Amino acid sequence: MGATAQKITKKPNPAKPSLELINDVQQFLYREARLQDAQAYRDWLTMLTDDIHYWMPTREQRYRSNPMEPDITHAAHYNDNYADLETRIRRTETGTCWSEDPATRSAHVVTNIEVELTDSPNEYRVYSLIAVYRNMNEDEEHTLYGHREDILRNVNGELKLARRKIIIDQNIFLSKSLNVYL
Amino acid sequence: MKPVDELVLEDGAYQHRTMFWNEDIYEAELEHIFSRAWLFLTHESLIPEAGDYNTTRMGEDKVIVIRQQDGSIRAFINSCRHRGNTVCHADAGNTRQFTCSYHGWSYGSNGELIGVPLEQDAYFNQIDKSKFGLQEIAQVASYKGMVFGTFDASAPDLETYLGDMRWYMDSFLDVPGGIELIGPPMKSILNCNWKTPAENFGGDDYHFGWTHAAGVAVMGGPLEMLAGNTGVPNEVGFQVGSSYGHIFGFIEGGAAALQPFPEWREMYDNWLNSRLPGQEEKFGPLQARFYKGHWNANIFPNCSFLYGTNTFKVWQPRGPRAIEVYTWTLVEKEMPAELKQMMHRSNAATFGTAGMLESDDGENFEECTQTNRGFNTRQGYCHAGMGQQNEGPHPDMPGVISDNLMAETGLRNFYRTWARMVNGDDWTQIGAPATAPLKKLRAV
Repeated sequence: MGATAQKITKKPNPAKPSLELINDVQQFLYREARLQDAQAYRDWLTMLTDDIHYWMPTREQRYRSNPMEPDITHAAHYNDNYADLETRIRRTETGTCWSEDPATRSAHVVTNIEVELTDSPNEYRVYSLIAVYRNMNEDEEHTLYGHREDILRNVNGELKLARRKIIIDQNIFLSKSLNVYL
Repeated sequence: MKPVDELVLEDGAYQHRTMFWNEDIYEAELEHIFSRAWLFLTHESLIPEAGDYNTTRMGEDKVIVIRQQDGSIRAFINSCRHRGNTVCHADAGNTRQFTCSYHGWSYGSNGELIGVPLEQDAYFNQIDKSKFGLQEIAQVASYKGMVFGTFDASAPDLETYLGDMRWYMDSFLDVPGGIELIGPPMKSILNCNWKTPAENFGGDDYHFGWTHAAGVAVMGGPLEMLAGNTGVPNEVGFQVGSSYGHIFGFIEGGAAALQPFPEWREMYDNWLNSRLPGQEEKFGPLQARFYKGHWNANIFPNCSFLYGTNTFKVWQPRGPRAIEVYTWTLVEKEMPAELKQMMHRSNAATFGTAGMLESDDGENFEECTQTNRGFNTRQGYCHAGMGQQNEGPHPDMPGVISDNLMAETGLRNFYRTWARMVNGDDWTQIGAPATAPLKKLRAV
């Protein structure tokens, strides 16, 4: 159940991506960030493949001598497929989602974008850093940083997000409920 | 600090709002509740091998829980006996010893001080290492895999402390192979008083249809009628108040009801149905019914779980106005891997940090605390009087039982115990049955 996210240690295809591909990927990620800020979640869903795996594992503070790689059988903040994400979005559309009314304000900033070719001609591995500024209620401010490792797939000439692994730089999630997508 | 009998009134039905804000009351809670009650530490499945450890908190005290060479589990205050530094900085791992990062004092997994740098050159071998072991938690015990500890050597044993709750919990703790928790725990910070989520999980079935209207509507299933309180399912369950302050709300046959997809509900229901005959044989039908129902529960003071939805939480206090939440997933050890995976995904989707139902609660919990910033606001009382005339003992089941699921029987039971403990009552009084005489009883 649910696909395994690609390991970060996987060797990249040594061939260089074209400038055009890099540009397309950047535009894709910026568009995604804009749709998130606008809470245009239905439009965001169209940017995902049907077999999306959207994963943000729980982190644990451990000594260097006792490392533990995140695993999809372990706890996760997000461990979602398309139906999970669609259900979350449907909840915010019911008109009875009190915790999202008034709305959360957010700014998604994408940077450090790196594109790698893979063994599959239609799939690209994309690394990026996402910073999300979140402002809620009267005066609550939270800033989240996530290191993302994505697989983008070319589906009939259109880029779609097929895998996303987000490693958040917090051991304890330092604020209440996570109500944004990174 | 106000006298306790001015804080909790009318058999638990009113709580003075300063209880959710005041520093002196919080200190009294640390001294009289968190230093005396049995507190959840870990589950045996999370530290299976000798040297496996978790760090956690008991109240605000930092604690190491570690599996010994002989298989037993001991717990120690996570603070060096020399100058007080934290001894172990990791959440979990495996080790033979803990070495303090300040001067290098090292402690064995049994807490004994085994190494002092420059013992001869600086201490002239005059330090008696046997006097400086890590401070041990007075009592640590496991109940069917659930590990608890108390600082109070005079506290009743864990089985006694679990009280009436044990009779109910055996229905799902005592399954072939037992239960386990999936970690590492999600951890998050909420700016609320620790009692608010504890009372909510254990005794607030009233909020469910309204707070979670959106989440319940999209997940569908047998509880969908609750969304927005369009249906009033008084007959679906009841609440139980146990001795020693433990509480739960019970939905008959509803264990799988909050799984977010129909096929998940079916998969889980099939599993429960396959195991139910064995539980009925072991416990009889009256007790075994609790295996197939949904529970919202709190083990006093701060350990909450939803059996069926299978989220398992500890609310660690961080002052009177903040908590750290630990969240694991509860599964049966013998469940197939696919079902376990489904369980922890559905827990993440509902009551994890990004859970659809968790985020509804978080907003309410914080505001229930933070409004007390207003001096005049916090002079008043909160009310939990629902169904006070409609609860009482039951002929065949232990504890105080409400007529309806929609009741505040659990809240009152929680705050009665809270008042007894903060008042410094002795253990016989704390564990005494906590009930007004029976007025009316629904046949359950």
